[in-house]
Amino acid sequence: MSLAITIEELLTWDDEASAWWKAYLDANSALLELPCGIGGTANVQEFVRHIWGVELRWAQRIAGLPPITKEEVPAGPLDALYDLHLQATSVFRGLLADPSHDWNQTLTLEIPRVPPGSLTPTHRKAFAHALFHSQRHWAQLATLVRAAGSPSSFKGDLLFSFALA
Amino acid sequence: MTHGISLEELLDWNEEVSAFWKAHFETSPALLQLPCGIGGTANVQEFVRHIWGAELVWSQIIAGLPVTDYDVWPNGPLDALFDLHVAAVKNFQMVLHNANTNWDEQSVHYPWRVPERPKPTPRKALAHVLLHSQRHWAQLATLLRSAGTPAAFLGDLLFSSALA
Repeated sequence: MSLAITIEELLTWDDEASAWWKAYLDANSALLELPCGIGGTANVQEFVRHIWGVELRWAQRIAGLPPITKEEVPAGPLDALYDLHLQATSVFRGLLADPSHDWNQTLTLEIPRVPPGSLTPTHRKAFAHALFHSQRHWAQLATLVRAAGSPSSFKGDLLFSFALA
Repeated sequence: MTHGISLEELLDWNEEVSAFWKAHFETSPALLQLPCGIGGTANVQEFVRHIWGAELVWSQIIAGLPVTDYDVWPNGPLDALFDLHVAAVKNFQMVLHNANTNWDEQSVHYPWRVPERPKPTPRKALAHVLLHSQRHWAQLATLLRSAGTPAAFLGDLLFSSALA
């Protein structure tokens, strides 16, 4: 399987990007109040909450744990939101460390806005989806803050990641 | 190495998404003139040119082919820009089927590489360019929605038929 990007590499890339944005938003906390219309969110803080909250929900689904509800996801502060990512990563790493985990088994999702054909992904697909979901949103966030006059110098492309050589 | 997503699957996902945007712009060509500041582009057509042009350049770099200069890329129309993507996919397929490719050798030199950056492996370079496009398509979807013309783009991997 050498012609692949491993889930471990994707997770490390995801961790890098999350840590970068945590540090950046720690240093530029006013940006959290910037208006944002992506994913139905009102501002950047809600958008970051969406990104990391979704990571945790997918991790829990794949691990067979009850997914955290939207109401249970804290509204802030940033540290509490980042903790969602850390929890997700912990669950993801636990799954990866389990040699008996069957990555080809399917999930049965009950998410109203998801088309019927996408409701039974394998664990492998769901895991990769969760990680790409974050990367796509970080790209959108980089554009949003740049358009608002606060370019972040975020280098989000995989080329710049240390997750793989 | 345990579980992952293959480069063929990433390429299939990339092709699905490119086909979606090609069809969307054929139906709504006025969107190509929408202002866009991403990647140093002035409008959506230039942005799409950047996405598909980057695919072609990286495909040539990875395949060891002469690189098409930025100034030679067509500015349009859409069909000509899509041809950049089609040509890139052809090169990607050629590389993927080349049994002599050393996927784990840090051998890929790209002209704008700075000395402190190591050369990527062909595996990383190919994954990079395919995901470069996906990240930009996500930005484009946001741009169009912000402009009042949502594309109904389902860009997440969950919605792709590239893998089960």
